[in-house]
Amino acid sequence: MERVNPDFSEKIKKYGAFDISACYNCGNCTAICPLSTEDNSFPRKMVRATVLGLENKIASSLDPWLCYYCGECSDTCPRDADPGGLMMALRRYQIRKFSVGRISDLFYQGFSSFWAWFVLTLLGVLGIFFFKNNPDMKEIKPLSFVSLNVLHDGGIILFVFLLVVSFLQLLLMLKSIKLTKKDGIGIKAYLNSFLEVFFNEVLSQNKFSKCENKKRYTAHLLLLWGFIGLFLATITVMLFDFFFPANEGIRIIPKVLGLISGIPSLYGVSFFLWYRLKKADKYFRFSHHTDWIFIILIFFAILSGYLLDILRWSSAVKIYYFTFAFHLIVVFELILTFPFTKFAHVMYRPFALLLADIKK
Amino acid sequence: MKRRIGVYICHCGGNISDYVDVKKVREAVKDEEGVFLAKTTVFACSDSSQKEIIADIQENNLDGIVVASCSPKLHLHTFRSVAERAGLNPYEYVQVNIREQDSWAHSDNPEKATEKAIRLIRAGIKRAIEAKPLTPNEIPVINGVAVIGGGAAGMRAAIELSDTGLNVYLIEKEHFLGGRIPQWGELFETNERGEVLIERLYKEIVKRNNIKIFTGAEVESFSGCVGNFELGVRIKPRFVKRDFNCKDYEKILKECPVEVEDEFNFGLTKRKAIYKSYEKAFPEIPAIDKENCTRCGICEKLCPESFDFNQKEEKLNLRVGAVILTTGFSPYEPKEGEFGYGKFNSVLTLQQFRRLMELSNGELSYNSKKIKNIAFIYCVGSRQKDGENKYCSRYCCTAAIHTSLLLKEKYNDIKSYHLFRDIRTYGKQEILYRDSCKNGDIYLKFDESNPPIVEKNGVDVSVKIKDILTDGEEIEIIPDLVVLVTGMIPRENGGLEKIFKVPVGRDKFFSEIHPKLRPVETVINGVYIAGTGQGPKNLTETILSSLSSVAKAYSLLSSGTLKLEPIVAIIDEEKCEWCGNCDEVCVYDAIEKKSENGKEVAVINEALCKGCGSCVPVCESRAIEIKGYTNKEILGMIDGILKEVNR
Ligand code: SF4
Ligand code: SF4
Ligand code: SF4
Ligand code: SF4
Repeated sequence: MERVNPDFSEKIKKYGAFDISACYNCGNCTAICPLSTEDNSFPRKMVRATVLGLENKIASSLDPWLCYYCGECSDTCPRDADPGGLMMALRRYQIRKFSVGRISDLFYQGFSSFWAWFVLTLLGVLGIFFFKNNPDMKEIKPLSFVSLNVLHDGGIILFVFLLVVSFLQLLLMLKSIKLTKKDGIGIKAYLNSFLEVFFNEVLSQNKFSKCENKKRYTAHLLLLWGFIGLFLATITVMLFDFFFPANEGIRIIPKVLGLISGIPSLYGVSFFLWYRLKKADKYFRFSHHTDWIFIILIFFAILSGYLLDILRWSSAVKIYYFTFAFHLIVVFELILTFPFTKFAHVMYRPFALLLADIKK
Repeated sequence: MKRRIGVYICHCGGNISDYVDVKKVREAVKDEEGVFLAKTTVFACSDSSQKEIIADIQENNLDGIVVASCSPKLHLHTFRSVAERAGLNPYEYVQVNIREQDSWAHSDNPEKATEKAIRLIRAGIKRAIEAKPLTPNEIPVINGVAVIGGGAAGMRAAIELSDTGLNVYLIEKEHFLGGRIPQWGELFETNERGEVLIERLYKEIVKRNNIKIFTGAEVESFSGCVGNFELGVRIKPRFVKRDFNCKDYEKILKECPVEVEDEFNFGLTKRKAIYKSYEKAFPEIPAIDKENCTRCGICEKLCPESFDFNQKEEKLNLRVGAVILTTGFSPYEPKEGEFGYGKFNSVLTLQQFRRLMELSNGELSYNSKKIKNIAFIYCVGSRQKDGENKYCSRYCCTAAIHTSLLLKEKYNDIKSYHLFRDIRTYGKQEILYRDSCKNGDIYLKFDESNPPIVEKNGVDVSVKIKDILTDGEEIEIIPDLVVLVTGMIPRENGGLEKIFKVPVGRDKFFSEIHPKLRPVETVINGVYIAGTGQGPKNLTETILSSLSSVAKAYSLLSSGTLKLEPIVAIIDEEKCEWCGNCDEVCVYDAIEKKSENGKEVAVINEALCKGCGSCVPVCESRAIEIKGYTNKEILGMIDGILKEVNR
């Protein structure tokens, strides 16, 4: 038995611009939602749990991650309760809920969020001053600005940190989802589901593709692939540096990969930035400040990355190093906050899909 | 004299002619004795056919017509008027039903249907031959209407009747007018207060000098017939003079030693033996409650001029032409322990809660506890599958939701939980429902078989509900107050249904003749019903029905005379031996014994007789006949039916 808690829906309201108390349980949202099945009335179950303030139910639900915000429920809702918007809000709520040490709280409350980003940027700037060498001012040599060792060690530290935190957070998610024995937990089940989810969902974004708005789907897919490319490029650079420090020629591979991957990423991120700015579509009517920060950071990271590649052929040495510093700070912020911000959906969503697949 | 009767056989489009061979029927009846002409027609009721019939009558001097068509319920009056327009007596017209009673019923057997049509029409022709012209009786009616029940419906009816020029007697059982409406506070949609509406009605009433108000008055007897009723009314003494003018009223209120439960506040407070139902109650003078007053004399001592303990119960007879019953409702009183009612302090009915809201100023608290969370449990005493009240009380969903909106407006920090079975905020009331949702009120749905459980929970109560909207999960609420949204039951009226012989339904509300087509008429001609005494209604609907009962009463009495249906029983005084058999069977009390030329005979009160015919077969002396259905006519019809039909 659960007790009603009307304060909860008040709390959730801060995460989005929906009007869930207007819901009169007609069930239209469930009827239209492509994800709804006979035993999971999607998204009405979450609507109801929010209205009644059944926090346990919400914390233990994967539903917010399965929804792609196609918005059909919100379009059909006769009371304009915006159930789709609620699902997005519940995602934000869960990101906070699963975060270790409640670090996410820092980024989700308007005021503290401002200070968190301010401090991080300050740290980045100080870090640059602290670690930078005396760069070669005659010719552009990136590594003369920050030494390879610093990048390398810093990268590793950051990576280990991310790995540990992400792992812990996924564990937290797993714990609150409460898989039961009968859900058939076993290596094999995991593996099967993993393959299924990885190919059918992550790489192809199959569920997303069912949404009516194909532009949004394409932009998201391109951004995702571009990101995977950029990620691979970064990894290979590191690996090559480690294994073939002397071989200059081989670097062309990650370089080209990076340049190519940048294009879809840039398209994707610009699309989202533009649409959110213009509120061009029903999906973008409401943007939480965490949405903004996430997009802006990605946008600047990719833009400055490109700029670096272009400047490399120029002789604007000062500008180059300046941009380089900027790029490093942005990337540092983006990566460091990965598990605590909207960026975390990159791990939560596939993991949720995986769990959902196993449960099924 | 040879009769000249016209027979018309209707196709009714194909409704009749698809199954009944109308040509064959015509052939079979056209040469019947007395038939001058026989025709078939596609739609007898159409304008052109009506004109044709009129022309036939006039050109051929027809002295009777038979139309074989649909049920007389549909077109009896149409063709009676055709006959009349052609110069015949309307009762020289006979309708034969070959649709409902033939073609539709026997669509599987056209041949037999055709035969049946022939027999029915022959019967009709025989009846037409024997039919005598009849003329309606005209009787004078009394210009006066008794409105029984001085709530909103009765008050509104009184005003409107008065404006039509009828004299009105407004009879109220309590010492004050207004009924339930002043108890309610703000009413939805306008948020006007109940007592303000009553004040407006009262001010209108006193402006009119053809309305007489009787308070503390109950009807004891009722007799007479439509247009000429007689009511016996008993009036309780008020012990307060009409020109009550007592400066020490406040003091009297303090000193009066008798305290009884205040029914106006549903027992939340006490009142004295001298009281007004509420401060601005009408009439504006207080009343002394005879049953509880101990005659201690304190009041009289303080204001000797204003009281009169010598007042006695008064009886008077009123003569009226029509009666409107507006006796209203009472809220359903939950049984001991029903949802914790009477068991836990914090369980009230909605009506009590509304009084609580009215009585509190500033902050809402009960038993000195501040109220923040309220659980409304719906359909209490309504829609019972096994209980007596099967009906939906119609107003309570809206009332509860409107209450929660008011709470939000007045106190803001109050949270309302609505535990409902179905939300029936029909019509514009739906907007209140939407607003309440938007306010963040929480709705939980239960099934009658699984009602919420109200239990003790420490100092508070807890309410547990298996919420259908959350997959039947059990949800718990800890409210400060549980409000039972109770429905309507008819208000206690001292057995008026027996006095007026107006039937009540299984639900104990007065029943109308036809819920859709004759919603304010009762089987007693001249007695109308309106308001919640007839069934649950909101105030709008109450006033609507009140006004339509006024329209009915007015159209009955406006001309000063009344035409009575001539199809009534008639006694052959020669044959009548007064055995009393007929009197025993007549449910309308239309038969009286009278001495005529030294002989006791039965006499028919034509205003009361409905021509039902019950008395005819019980009369062993064959002294009774029904005009329009005389023995000759009936026997003729039997002959017509029995006559062989050639195949
Ligand atoms: S936004 Fe689309 S996927 Fe999400 S709950 Fe609504 S209908 Fe379902
Ligand atoms: S469509 Fe809107 S009103 Fe209907 S159940 Fe879904 S959220 Fe509620
Ligand atoms: S109006 Fe509502 S509360 Fe009242 S009986 Fe009908 S359904 Fe129940
Ligand atoms: S016909 Fe019916 S109503 Fe008339 S006197 Fe006979 S029994 Fe009474």
